[in-house]
Amino acid sequence: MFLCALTAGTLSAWGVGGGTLLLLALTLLLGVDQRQAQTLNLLFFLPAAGTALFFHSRHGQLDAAAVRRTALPGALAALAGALAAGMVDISLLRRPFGVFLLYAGASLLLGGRSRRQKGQGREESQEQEDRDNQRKMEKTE
Amino acid sequence: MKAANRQRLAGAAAGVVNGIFGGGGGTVLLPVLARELPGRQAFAVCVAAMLPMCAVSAAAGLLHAPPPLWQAAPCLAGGLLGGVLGGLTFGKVPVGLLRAAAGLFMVYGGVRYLL
Repeated sequence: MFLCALTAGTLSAWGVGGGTLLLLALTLLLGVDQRQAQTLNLLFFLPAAGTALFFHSRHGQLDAAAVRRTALPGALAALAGALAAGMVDISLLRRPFGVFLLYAGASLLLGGRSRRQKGQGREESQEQEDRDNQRKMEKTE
Repeated sequence: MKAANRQRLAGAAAGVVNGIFGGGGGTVLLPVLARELPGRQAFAVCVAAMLPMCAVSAAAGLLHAPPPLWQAAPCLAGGLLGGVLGGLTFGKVPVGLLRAAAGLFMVYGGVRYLL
């Protein structure tokens, strides 16, 4: 279980959906009850994200304004969603959300490819930007 | 719609999804952020935004389906070390690989929700 969480934690720190992997491992490999696995998955994300954000912040990867814009309405909406979860039939929402996930996943996969084709220097410039941010942080320290 | 408002709306939508399904909010937020923030920043901001949402959802989960401590402890420890490992290596992972991994997890999740 520790190794599953370690792998999933690394992917979660990258922001690519390690929780999906952990949920799968907990339910299919380790036989954990689905609802308890969901709670474990949410709990696991807290230290994984907390430590990852320490490094992301040091490396100048966090746009503070974008975090404020998304985190605050998100937390309030999560509270509303958690309260609403007991009142709505979640099984009715599974299929529309599944369709959305297929669309969003495909857009990320295809969007990534077309962007690389359009501007080959984009990743290099991002890496240069990362290095610049790192140097700035080191100087200020 | 302005980019800032799109991000607020995406944050709220991610919160609703996370609250209702007990996870998955990042799948709503990341595609919007990936269009509007450069390279790795989209992924880093997504992790930061999901932290308070998951804290709220985790509190709800603990009320309704608390896991035993012997299961929670290795998950928390693995998450902690995984976060350190991921944080240290994040800058070295190509953005294309991050996008591909996130996209594949979403497609997989979509198939599971549809079946």
